[in-house]
Amino acid sequence: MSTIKVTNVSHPSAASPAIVLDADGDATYAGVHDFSAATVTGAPQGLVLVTPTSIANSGGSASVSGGAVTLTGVTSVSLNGVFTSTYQNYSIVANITNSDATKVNFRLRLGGTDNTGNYRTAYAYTSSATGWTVNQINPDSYGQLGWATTVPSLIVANFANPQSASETQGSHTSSAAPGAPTVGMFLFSFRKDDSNQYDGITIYPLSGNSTGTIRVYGYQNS
Amino acid sequence: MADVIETDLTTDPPTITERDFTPEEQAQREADIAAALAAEVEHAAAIAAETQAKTDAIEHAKSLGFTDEMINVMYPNLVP
Repeated sequence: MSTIKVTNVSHPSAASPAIVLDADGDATYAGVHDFSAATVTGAPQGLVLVTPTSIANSGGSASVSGGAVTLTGVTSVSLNGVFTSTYQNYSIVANITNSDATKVNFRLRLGGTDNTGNYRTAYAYTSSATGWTVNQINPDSYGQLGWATTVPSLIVANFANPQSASETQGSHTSSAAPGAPTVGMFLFSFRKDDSNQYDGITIYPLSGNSTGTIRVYGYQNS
Repeated sequence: MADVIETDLTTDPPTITERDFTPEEQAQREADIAAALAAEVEHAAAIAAETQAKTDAIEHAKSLGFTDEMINVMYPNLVP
């Protein structure tokens, strides 16, 4: 196979080259670049959307499309097969509106069954209506993912090591807090000191039901 | 209507199964509802205590001769 060696690639009617190659093979592109149909090879980097292998919901309805779990009026939703050995760290992003202003709790799952032991939580919150409140629950039968109200609320929950044979840690924030008519801040940290290798999570409001979208992302290890 | 709707996403199309709570799930659900009610009572009590504390603070400040405007300068948002 022969090789054509060029430094500039240009359309016949163009005044200047569209592509300029340097000695290292780096290409500089002029004008508008259309990479809309390009395929990127290799492992995806950064956050990778994880699609559950199955879901289960109580009350209302739930569906999965493109990795996003959409909820309408559910009293609980379980996401199975989201934690694997592929990733050490995960981020759960929940855009939720609750029928009641209340906690959004979680339980880690193993083989399709909720685990109800040793959830250790510390939290602090403030809002436009209250000063700072701090507390800890040590232990309880559930963990706290965040707080959601009757207006759209954001919960971002980070988990480390749910699928490894060591304890699981978490660090969560939510945009809503108790007594927050306008804006609130709710911070959580979480530990579950057992060696179960969890593969899923159940998320549920303390009372009422939830509507919105939940996405689980894995942090690429390297 | 069944208690739980399970959707298996490993099949195409997804397989949907409906079932009732297992005895363990039913017991946990009842415990969760009881916990929610207890939390609601606790939350209401905390709000009532906070409201009473604010009322007491305002009354005490006024007994010392402070007006609402003066109280609000010292403690913003204390006077509703």
